[in-house]
Amino acid sequence: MFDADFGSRARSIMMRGVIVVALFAIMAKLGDMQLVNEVIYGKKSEDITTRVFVQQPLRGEIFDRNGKVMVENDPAYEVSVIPYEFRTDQIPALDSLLQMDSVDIVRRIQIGETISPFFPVRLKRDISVATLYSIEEHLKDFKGVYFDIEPKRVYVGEARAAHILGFTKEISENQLTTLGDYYKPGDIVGYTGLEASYETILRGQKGYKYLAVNARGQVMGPYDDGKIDIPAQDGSDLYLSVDEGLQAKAESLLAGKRGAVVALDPSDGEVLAMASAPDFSPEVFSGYTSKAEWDKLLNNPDHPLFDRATMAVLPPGSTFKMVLASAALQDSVINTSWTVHCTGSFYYGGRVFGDDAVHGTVNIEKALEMSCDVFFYNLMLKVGFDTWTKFGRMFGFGSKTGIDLQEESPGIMPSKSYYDRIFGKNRWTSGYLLSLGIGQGEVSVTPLQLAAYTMAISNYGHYYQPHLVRYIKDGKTGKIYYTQYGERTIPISTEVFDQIRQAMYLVVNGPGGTGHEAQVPGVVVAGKTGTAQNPHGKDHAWFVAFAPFDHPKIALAVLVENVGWGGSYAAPIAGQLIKYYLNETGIAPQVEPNGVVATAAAR
Amino acid sequence: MFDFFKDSFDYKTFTLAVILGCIGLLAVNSATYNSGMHDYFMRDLLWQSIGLVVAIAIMFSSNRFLENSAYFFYIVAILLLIFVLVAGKRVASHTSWLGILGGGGQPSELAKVASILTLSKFLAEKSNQRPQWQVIAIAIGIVALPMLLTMLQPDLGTTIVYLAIFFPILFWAGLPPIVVVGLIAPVAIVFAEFTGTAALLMTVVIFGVLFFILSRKKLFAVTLSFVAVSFGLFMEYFYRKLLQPHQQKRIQIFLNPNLDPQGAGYNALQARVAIGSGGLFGKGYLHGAQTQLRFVPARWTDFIFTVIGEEFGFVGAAFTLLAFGALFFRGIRIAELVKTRFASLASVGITSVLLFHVFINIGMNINLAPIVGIPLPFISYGGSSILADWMMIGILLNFYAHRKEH
Repeated sequence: MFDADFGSRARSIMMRGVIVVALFAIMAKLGDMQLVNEVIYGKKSEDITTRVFVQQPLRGEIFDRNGKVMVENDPAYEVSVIPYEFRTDQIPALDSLLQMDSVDIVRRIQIGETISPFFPVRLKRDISVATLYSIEEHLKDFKGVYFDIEPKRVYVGEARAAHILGFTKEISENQLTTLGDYYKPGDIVGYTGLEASYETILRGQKGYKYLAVNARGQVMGPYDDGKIDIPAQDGSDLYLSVDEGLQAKAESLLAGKRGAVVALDPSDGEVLAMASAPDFSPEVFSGYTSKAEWDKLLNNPDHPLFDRATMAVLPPGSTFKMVLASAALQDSVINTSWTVHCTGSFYYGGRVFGDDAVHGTVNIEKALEMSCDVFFYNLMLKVGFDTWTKFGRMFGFGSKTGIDLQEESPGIMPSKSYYDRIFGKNRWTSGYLLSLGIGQGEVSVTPLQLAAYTMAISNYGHYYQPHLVRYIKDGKTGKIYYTQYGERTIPISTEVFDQIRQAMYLVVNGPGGTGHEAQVPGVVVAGKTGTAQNPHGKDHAWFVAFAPFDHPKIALAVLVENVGWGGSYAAPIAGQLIKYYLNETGIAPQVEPNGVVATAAAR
Repeated sequence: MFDFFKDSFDYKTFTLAVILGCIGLLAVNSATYNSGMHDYFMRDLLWQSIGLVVAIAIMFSSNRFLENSAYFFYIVAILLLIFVLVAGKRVASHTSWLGILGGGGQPSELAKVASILTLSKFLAEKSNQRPQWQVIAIAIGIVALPMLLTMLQPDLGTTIVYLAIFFPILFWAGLPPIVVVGLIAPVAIVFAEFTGTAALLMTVVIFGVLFFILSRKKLFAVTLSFVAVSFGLFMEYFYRKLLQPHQQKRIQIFLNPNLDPQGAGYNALQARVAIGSGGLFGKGYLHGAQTQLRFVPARWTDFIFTVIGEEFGFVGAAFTLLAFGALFFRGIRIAELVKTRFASLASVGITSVLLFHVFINIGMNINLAPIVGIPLPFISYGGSSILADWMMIGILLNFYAHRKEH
C-alpha cells in the first residue's frame, strides 16, 4: 500500500505547493494589514491608546446579631500616579507634599510598571484634607498624578471586636504573588479575622472602565463605546451571631488584663462574644498606617494582635476534669459511690503529687465540686491513657473547632503515640499521666475549645461547630444566604451528663464549691474553675460556665493570664457576663430575614 | 576536514538557520528592551549558541547514528514526558523541572523530534509488512502516545503539532490518497464540530466528495462516507450533550478568541494593531510604540512576530517569511537527495513541523489561525524550543552530509 508512491515527484510538488500556499496566505494577510490598511492600524496605534480605570467596589458591611452595624465604609482620598505619564523629576515635590519617603514612591511606581505603565499606581491613601487641597492646587504642575475617592473601613459601636472583625490593609508584595491575579498593587485586602476569612465575599468584584486616550494624554471618551467595560460589583454584607453589647461588656471586663472570653449559644454554636485582651483598634490599619504605629503594635510585649481566644494554647487545669469524669462514668470504670480518701497529696512512682487542700473521702461529685486533685490522680490511673485521649478528642480537643476564622490553633491532646514521639518510646512513665488527669502537663487548649466543650456538656453532647457568621446578604441581589456549619453528637449518655452537670452546679452553688464568685441572682449558674500552672510566672486563671442550668442559653470560657487562682479571677467575669446577657438586656429577639440556605459554608 | 566543507556541508540550510536565529535575537532584545528584562537577550544568546553547537555535533555524527538511536531517543522522551507529568503535579503549576535552567524547559519540544525520527524509522523498515492496517495502527500509536502525554500537561498547542508530524510523513511514505484523506477526516470533523454545526456539515460533505473522487470502488466510498457521517453525528451528540457549557465555551474561545474580549481577544487585537501599524518599512528597531510600550502581551514568546511586524514593517516580515520558505524548500530538497528512506521521511517530518509552527504562530498574530500557544521557530524566546529547532537543523545537515550513502 505504501510502496508504490514513496517520495514521488507528484508528492514533492504537492508538498512544495502547501509551503507556497501557506506562506502566500500569510504574506497576503500581512500586505492587507500593513500596506492597504496601515493607515487605520497606524491611527489606532499612535493616536488612541486605552487607559484602564478601576472601579473599586464597596466592601461589604458587618452587622451584629441584632442588626447593629459594626463595620461600614467612609470616603477617603487617595493619590495615585500613572507611571507612563509620570516624570521622575517630580518625585521631590511629591515627596514633600505627601510626606512620603522618595524611595517608597519609586518602589511603588516600579512595581506598578511591571504590570502595566498605564495602570494607576496608588501612592498614598487616606490623605488629609489639607494635603488634598494642596495637591488640587498644584494638580496642573504635576503630570500623571491623580487623586480619587476611595472607601475606607470605619468601626462603629461600643465593641471593638478587633480580633473577630480583623483588619484590612494594603496588599503586601508577598500576597500579590500568592493571592492570584485579581489583586493589583495598592489594593486593600483583609489581613486577619473575618475580613480575611470572608475576603472574597466581602470585597466584591472590581470593575474596569476603558477610556480612549490620545497621544497628548487627553481622554477622548469611552473606548469601544464602553462595550468591554465591566461594572464593579459591591461586596456582600455579613450578619454575625455576636451580640455587640455582650461583646463590649466582655471587652470592658478584660480591660487592663491579659486574657480571653468566649461565649457561645449552646443551642447552635453561635459565638455570642469573643474577646481577647489586650486588643487594638482595627481603624489603625484602615487608612494610611504609619510605620511607627505598625511597629508599636508588633513590638508590644503583650502582643495585642494575637487572638488569645482562638490561638492561645494553655493547659486547661481543672476545667478539664469533666473529660476524665465523663470517660470514667460512661465506660463504667467507676460509679458515683466509688470514693478516694484525700490526704492532700498522692505518692506515686517515687514522687509526691500535691493537692490544694485535704478533701477527706470524696466521690466523683464532691471531687469535682471541690476540685480534688488526688481523686483525679487515682481516677486517671484507673481509666487509662487511651480512654482519656479518646474522650478528650470527642470533646474536640487536639483539633481546630473549624470556626470561620483563619487564625485558630488546634491545641494539643496528648496520646500514647504523641508521648512516644516527644519523649521517645518507653522513655515516659505512667507518672506522666497524673498531671494530665488534672489538666496540667502537655495538654493544651484554646479558650474557644474550652467554651465549645462547655457548650457540649451543657446541651447533653451536641457539639456544634462554633461560628461567627449567621448569614450573608448578597451585595448585588440583596438575597440572604444562610451559612451552614457542622454538628455532631458526642456518644455519652444522658445519665452521665446529668451527673457531670450536677457536679458543675455544685461548683458554683454547693457548700464546698470553688466557683461561688460566678453566682448570679435569679439565674442558676453551673461551672468549673481551673488554674493552669505557669512555670514563667503567676498561674493562669480559667473558668468555664453555662446558664441557666435547666435550659442553657449561654456557655462560656474565661481566661485571665498570670493572676492566680481561677475561682477568684475568672469566675467573677463569667458571672458578670451571664448577668448582663440573661438579666440586664433580656435576650433581644433576633431579626430573621427570609433566606436561602447556602449549600456549603460560604467561604 | 576541508573535504567535508567542500562536499558534505549544507551551507544553505546552515546559513538560513543562522539568519533566523539572528532575527530571533534582535526581536527578543527589542521585546524585552524597555521592560527591565535585559537578561532575556543574554539567555536567548546562550540558548542559540547551545543549539548551534548541538546542531554541529549532530551533523558530524555517523551515517546511521540517528536511525539506530531513534527508538532510544523516543523512549527517553516518553519517560521525560511522564516524569514531568508526575513531578510537575507536585510543583502545582505546569512550569516543569527544566524551568530551573531558565528556559521554561518543555520535554514535549524534544519529544517532537524523537517522534519524527521514530515514525520515520518505523515506516522506513516496516511499511511493507502485512497486514497493512497493523502498520498504520502502530504508526498512529507512535504519535498518539507523546500526543496524549502532552495533552495531559496540558499543552494543547504542542499536542496539535503532532498532527503535522503524522500526516505528512505518512503521505511521503506513499500511502494512497484515499487512506490519507480517510485518516485526516476524523480529525477535521472534530475541529469542524467545535467551530459550529454548519462547518461540520460542510466538512462531512467535502470528505464524502473526496472519497468518491479518490476511490475506484464506489461501495468502499459509500461505506467511508457513511462512517464519516456517523462520526460527525456522534461528535455533535458528544459536544452538545456530554460537554458542560463552560467546557464548550472554553473550546470556542480557544478557536475564536474574539469571544473573550478581556483575555485572548484583547491580546489578539493589540497584536494586530502593532503589526498593521508597522507599514511598509516599520517604525525602526526599538521604536515600535505598541511593543515597546508593552501593549502586546507575551511579546517575546507567542507574539514575537509583532515586534518584527511593527519595527521592520512588511519588508522585514516578508524577509523573515522568505527565509523560512527557503528553509522549507531546502528540507524537501534534502528529502529528495538522500538515499535512505529513513532520512527522506524524517526530512519531510522536520520540514512540516517547522512549517506548521510558522503558519500557526504567525497566523495567530494576524488573525489567520486560532490562538494556540506554540512558538515561532528560532525566534520566540524559550530554551527548549530553540534547542529543538537547532536539533532539527542538525539532523538535516547530517542527512545532507551522508546523502550519498545507503
